[in-house]
Amino acid sequence: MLFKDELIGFYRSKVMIMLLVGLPALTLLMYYLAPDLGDMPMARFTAILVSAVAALLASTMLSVTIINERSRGVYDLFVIRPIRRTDLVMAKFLAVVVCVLSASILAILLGQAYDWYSGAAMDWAALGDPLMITVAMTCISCAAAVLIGSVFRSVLIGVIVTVYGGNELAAIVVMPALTESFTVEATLALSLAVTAVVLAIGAYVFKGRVSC
Amino acid sequence: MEAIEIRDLVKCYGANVAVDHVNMSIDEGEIYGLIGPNGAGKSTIIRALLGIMTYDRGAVRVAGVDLRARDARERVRIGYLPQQAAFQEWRTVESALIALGRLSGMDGTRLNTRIDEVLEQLGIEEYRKIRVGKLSGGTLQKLGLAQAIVHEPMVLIMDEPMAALDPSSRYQFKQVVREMRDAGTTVLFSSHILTDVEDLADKVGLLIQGMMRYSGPVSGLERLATMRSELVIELADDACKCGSLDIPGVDIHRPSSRIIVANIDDPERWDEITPCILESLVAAGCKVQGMSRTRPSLEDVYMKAVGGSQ
Repeated sequence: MLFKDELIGFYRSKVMIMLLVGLPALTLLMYYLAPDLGDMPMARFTAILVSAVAALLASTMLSVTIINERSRGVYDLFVIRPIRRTDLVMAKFLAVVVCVLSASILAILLGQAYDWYSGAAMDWAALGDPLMITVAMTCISCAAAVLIGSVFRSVLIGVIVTVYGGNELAAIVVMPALTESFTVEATLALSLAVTAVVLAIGAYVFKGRVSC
Repeated sequence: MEAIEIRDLVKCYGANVAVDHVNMSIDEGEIYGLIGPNGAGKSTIIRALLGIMTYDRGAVRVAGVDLRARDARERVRIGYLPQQAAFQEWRTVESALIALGRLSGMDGTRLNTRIDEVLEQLGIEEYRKIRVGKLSGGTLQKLGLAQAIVHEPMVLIMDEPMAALDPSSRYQFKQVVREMRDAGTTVLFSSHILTDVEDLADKVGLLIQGMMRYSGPVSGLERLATMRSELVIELADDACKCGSLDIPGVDIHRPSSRIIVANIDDPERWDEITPCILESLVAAGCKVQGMSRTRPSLEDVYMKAVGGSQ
């Protein structure tokens, strides 16, 4: 129930509206402005761009939300009810990841539609790797955002640490795939393991910090 | 049976003792007002009671259950209204009540009926579809009370609930709290608005510097502050000569020719001293037309008790 609730919340948020409209628009703009793309189809370009942007947006949105809600005392009304405190952040984490990945997939599909319309070659297989990288980076960044949101009380510090900490952590984990030292599948598996560890620490810290 | 029981509660923030061996008990169906100056420890006690704050020593039970226990919240339905109720701003009034009602274990028709009831009780039906972020402070606080009572709690705990409300909203708020009490809910609230405490509370607790200076009926506070009671006697004519009246423990003065005021040092001796005063006046040839007793207000008592401690 909490997950569904959070999903509705993020889906209706201004950030999501900007993401759903802004991400395809940004991609289109970059596609035309970027030099030397050669014959790269729009969908593949979108997938690469999205892998870089989605994690950053998702994690920043998540850490800011947690810091804001914690400092305003929103969770007080939840924790006096028969639910586990860790469920609150788990629901939030899943909701943000699902929302941002949905927006990313939508942007990629729009890219494919553009390629189809313009008669360019449509290569579904080429979208798989960037999409897996997007999932990996988004999961790690969001898990780090849960931890950061639970530790810091200042939104500004939270955002800075999320951008330079959470996303750097995600970049380090996926780096072997980008340098082709690891397969993308192995990197995704490693990323999910790192996500589970960081998320567990974040949820533990949240449990201790909220309302005390 | 005791709905709330606090035994020897101690909470420290570093070297600062915020709550110092506090004892308190509230019976089922009672309204208990917690008063005291800023920093006295009222909110700390409330948060310890709710199980959302750790404490260093003592025992806290709500309906016999320690709310820090794993399944405590399934066994005890609690309503909580913080000083400033905060909600996720994307929610509408209705969705906030649905979400918090469901998390409290309610669902379906019963929840919808209760939401209709509480919105009507608090006069905020028109805001049902409005986003929380667009509500005024007073309406937000009413929504706070709505979420606190929507699941028909056994115990309702409120921290400075009426501080941000206008007089008519405060009146409405008090009505709802009384209705909850009449339905069997035990209510604990803290407040700086002493007239509200006087209006609502069956019992009162006075906290000063983390210590419970008094816990009991509102009238008992007078004893703590040893304030005088005043007997105002109205005379039928100007002929009364009461200059010679001398009763131990009573100061008599005459602000006008037809009014005599007797200040009684010990309010406990009221029943014994009042007949003496009247007999003495009649013996002095005074014709008594009427009399009334003026008790010190809670504010007078509070100021004396708090002022004396600082």
